Amino acid sequence: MKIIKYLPLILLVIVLLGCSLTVNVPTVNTDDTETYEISQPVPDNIQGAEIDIEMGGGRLNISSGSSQMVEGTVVYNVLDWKPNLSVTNNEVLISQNHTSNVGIPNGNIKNDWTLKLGSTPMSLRISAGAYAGVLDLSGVALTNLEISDGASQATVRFDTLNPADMQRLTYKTGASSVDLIGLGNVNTSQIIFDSGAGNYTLDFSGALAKDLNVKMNSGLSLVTVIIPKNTHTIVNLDDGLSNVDAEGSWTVSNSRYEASGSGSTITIDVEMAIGNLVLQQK
Amino acid sequence: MKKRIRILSFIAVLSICLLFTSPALAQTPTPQPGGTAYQGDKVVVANTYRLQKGDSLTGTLAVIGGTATIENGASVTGDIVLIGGTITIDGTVNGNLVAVGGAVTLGDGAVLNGDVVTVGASLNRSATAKVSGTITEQTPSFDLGNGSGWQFPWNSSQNLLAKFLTAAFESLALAALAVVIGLILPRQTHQIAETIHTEPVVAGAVGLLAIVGSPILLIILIITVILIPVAILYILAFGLAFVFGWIALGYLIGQQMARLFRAIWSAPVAAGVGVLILSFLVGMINLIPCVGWIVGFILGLLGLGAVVMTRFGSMSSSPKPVAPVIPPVPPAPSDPTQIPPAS
Repeated sequence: MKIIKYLPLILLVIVLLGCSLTVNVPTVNTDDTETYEISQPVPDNIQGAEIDIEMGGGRLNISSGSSQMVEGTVVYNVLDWKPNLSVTNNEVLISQNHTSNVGIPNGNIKNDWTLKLGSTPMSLRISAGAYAGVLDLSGVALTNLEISDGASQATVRFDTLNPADMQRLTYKTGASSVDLIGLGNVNTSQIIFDSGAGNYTLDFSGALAKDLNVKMNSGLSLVTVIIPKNTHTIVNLDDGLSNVDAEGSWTVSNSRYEASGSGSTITIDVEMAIGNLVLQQK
Repeated sequence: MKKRIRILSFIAVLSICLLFTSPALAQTPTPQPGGTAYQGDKVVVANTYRLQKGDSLTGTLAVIGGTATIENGASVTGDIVLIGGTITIDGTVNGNLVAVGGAVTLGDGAVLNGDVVTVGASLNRSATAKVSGTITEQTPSFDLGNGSGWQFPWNSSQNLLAKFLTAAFESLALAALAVVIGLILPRQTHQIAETIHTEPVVAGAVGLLAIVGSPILLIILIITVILIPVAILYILAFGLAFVFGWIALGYLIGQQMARLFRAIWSAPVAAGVGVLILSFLVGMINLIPCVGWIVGFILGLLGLGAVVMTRFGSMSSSPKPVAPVIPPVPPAPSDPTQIPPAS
């Protein structure tokens, strides 16, 4: 047991050695907490209404039910991250400084975005760094949706049918954990999902009104695809190194998985570098 | 192969630059007709970055866990490195693009005068995007059976620069392996990491015991001749245990980093980021003459010990508490004055 006696000493030596190395990593410094209020009325001409959100790392929660086009708050404590709202024609851009050098947060960063969207048909574009949050887009009339984020922990929900026809849903994410719930309610015919390493769930529950084509391009990932029972679904895999766990009734032919059903068809083309693809029927 | 080494060397040099030359990261924006010219390297950590139409960046752009957009009409003169983030390029890039575990989109207007290398990342390329160099999409591969055998970042006998490059490259390879392990064995990885966290001294002692005891055991096995295959299996298991322990240690560091960022990282992300940082830093510390190896050795012991204690993460290292045996209580007499008969 002598080793146990000397281990603290050895660890101390290691710590001292470690401390002798100085690594200059850029950091972000915090200040007093500030709250930025957002209240953007519905434009007179709602044709082509668009909301762009560009945030850094933090928390982002979006829901519906605003009487405005968009309202909410941004609570932040990094002076450099004071949001800016600009309106050009029918385009509302809410952004944070993205031109200065950005470093590693020092642990007390606050950058909490809480937004409510109105009922105006709109195109929504979200560009975020590493964030955590829930985007509950149930009932928001979205004509186009594009989300791009870094390393994130996010849930995007569509619990009710999108009142507007969506041109396309595009989701690009880095190393993240992302759940897309209720994709059958999105009311679009095209979904593009590009991801890096991470865990992803694509749940196609909802009132699927038209044929849906999904193009999924994924790096090192664990992807779970949930299909409603009795929905005609075709999953085409590329020749990657993926393992596929198909749960439920699937007809397998080479790299094509098909579930029989009626109504509209979901076609999913999967390109995955390496990982695990789980197909579930619920 | 040369090409691969060249690209990996580039990644390594960039990593070193990012870690040790942050004062040089300061940019000097210069207004120019139609946009702004930014000079100097740019690092985006867990944040967003947009180079707008007309803007130009001269320097390296590194995006770690963030998202970046190079708009149509914007240009980057320098290399771009993406780690665990997303990047959309619609402008011009005069340099190479390397992406590890992220998502890359080359839009309609993208012009990339250089090579594109992706490792465990997704690449979505428009039909009209132009890439003058080659595109290499790689999934991690590990050659455990080559002549020199598997080398950890701290185990190199090259010159100083080569050691830097080797450490950086092998750190990346280990990080990629960690992502895979985090994906397929998250519970086991967590279990081992938990043991390192809660019982580091015991884990270190067990690891040391394993290191010291293994040669003796191997000699005994080999002497018997008939048990030589078992000895070979033991060596394999020992190597796997060491690597698994290292990854669990990196996972633990990744988790602590996520806590620092007030974020929740999935197991593959925590393991990948943690192992990358751990391996690279240990590789750098290893450059300290004479004693540098101790750090990697001790940390390796911790991981190895925890793997042994948890049987490769399949069980908890701490024995489950045994419920105390409570003697049955005799039923209370209905009449308190009555004494129950002796049994």
